Amino acid sequence: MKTRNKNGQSLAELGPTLWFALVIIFFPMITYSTVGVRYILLMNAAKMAAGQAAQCRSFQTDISSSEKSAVNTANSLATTAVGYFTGVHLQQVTTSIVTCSYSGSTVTKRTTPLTSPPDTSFNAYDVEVLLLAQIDPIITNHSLSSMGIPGLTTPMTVVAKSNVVFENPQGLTQ
Amino acid sequence: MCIDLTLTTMLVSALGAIGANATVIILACNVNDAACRDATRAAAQTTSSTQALMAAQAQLTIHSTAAFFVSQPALSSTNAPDFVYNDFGGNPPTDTSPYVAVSTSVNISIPAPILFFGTKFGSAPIVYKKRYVFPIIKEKFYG
Repeated sequence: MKTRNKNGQSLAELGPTLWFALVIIFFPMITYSTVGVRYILLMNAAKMAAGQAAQCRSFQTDISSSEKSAVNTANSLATTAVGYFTGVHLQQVTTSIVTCSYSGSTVTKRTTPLTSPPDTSFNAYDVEVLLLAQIDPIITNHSLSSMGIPGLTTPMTVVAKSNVVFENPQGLTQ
Repeated sequence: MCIDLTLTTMLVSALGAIGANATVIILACNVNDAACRDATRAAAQTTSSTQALMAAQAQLTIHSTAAFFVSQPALSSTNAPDFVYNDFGGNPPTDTSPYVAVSTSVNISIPAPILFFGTKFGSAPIVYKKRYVFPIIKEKFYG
């Protein structure tokens, strides 16, 4: 009787093991990691946009061609920052004034300028930039695309938000 | 094949757990850093210690979190050295500016606690603390 060589068994098992390890474990991990990295980039864009918008002298109306309002600054900066990277598609930029009273801790948001002058003795004023975007997985249009798993086989819709104290509250009425 | 798969799965699971924990910790640090900076900045534009405290707390309210893995940022305490409002009574000494210092903290719950040779990582919430110091902008500087 002829004895079988055990090396042959290992070689035969290598293929299915590699397929399982790569396709079931490593590929989804790499894909989700990529989505995570792209989301961090989006968060960074929101942070940059909010930081720059907070230094503007007006909220909605441009002071001059060189001094843009907070809304326009956030729009342009977010679009530019996201444009540096592939796989992140900016869909909407929402810039709001967040007001929080010192006493009641009630938080209100509005996307239009304040109707009355701000009172910094009683309220805190922040500018909030909210970015709505779609993040692509690292590989699109493959055989699993029909499964429709956001972030793994199809794009994922995400939101990134950043708040920063408004440096010139008196400009929030414009 | 079973041994290969078991070892691979164990290794990848451990790496995935460490990655998930690190991600949550880094995000929590970012949230607390932004909240602390804004709380201190808001406190710096007030004219009294009471107002500064309220301004800082208002900013922390604005910086809300989902509070699942990362708790709401909160003032570490309202006393020195965590909260200091020093305006020198309106007469700061030479080479010294009025300042406000605020410390905030968050509790981080680790998503995948790891037991490693008897050392527990993440069984209790990790407390991350941050402190910022800003000059008070509505007080006169020295000189």
